[in-house]
Amino acid sequence: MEILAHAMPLQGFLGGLMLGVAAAIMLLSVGKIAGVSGLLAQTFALVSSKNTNFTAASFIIGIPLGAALVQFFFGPIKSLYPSSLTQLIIAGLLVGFGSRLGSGCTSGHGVCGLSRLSPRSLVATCVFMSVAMATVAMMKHLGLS
Amino acid sequence: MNGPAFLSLISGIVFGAGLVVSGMADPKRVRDFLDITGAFDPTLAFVMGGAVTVMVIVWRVQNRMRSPLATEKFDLYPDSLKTRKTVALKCFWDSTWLYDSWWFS
Repeated sequence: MEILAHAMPLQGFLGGLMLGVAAAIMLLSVGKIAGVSGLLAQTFALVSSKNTNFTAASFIIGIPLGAALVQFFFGPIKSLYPSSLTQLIIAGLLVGFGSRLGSGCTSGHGVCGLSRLSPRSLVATCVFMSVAMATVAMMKHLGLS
Repeated sequence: MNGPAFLSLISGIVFGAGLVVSGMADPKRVRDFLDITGAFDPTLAFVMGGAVTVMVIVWRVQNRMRSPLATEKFDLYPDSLKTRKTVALKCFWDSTWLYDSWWFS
């Protein structure tokens, strides 16, 4: 199918399994939800947590390290970011504000919550996915992207 | 660096690697998933499928554990099953209250 031409189902699933393993290590050994926005908030002590902020910070530091390791062994990755710094800062602020407002992002609600059959995560995931889809459609309609 | 922090770092590294392998380090790909009227790219659904598959099993294991392997307590939101019980009890309580108010009216 034409629309699926650039999809990567295999790499996607394999990468997804890795994300699952990462979340498993976090949950079974440290006892925390591997939610990126939540752990970032804990790192800067914006929310309380049972462990030290250093534990949450280690996870956050690990993410770019893991990405760098893959790049080191398998070559440069494709990643298309906007070149404007202002645009990046505004986008980052919106992402941070939105994910804290929803008490979690794709990793916390989407992966850890859905697999736990958590009602609040199911609602959150459905809401943020559909609103994000509507936002993209609206931005396209207004000619902003 | 203590035990939990080290394990947390390992988890973060696997997470970051997973993001890159799955193509989710590319914001364009994430946006294409959301772009259902245009260049729709279903990759994110496969990523979530893979991650959720692992985590469904992991939650079952967690359910049988008294504490995490490296720390003393789980730092989690209330168990969804308990939440469901609370919701069910609340519904029951409300229905009895409604019943009472009807009975005494």
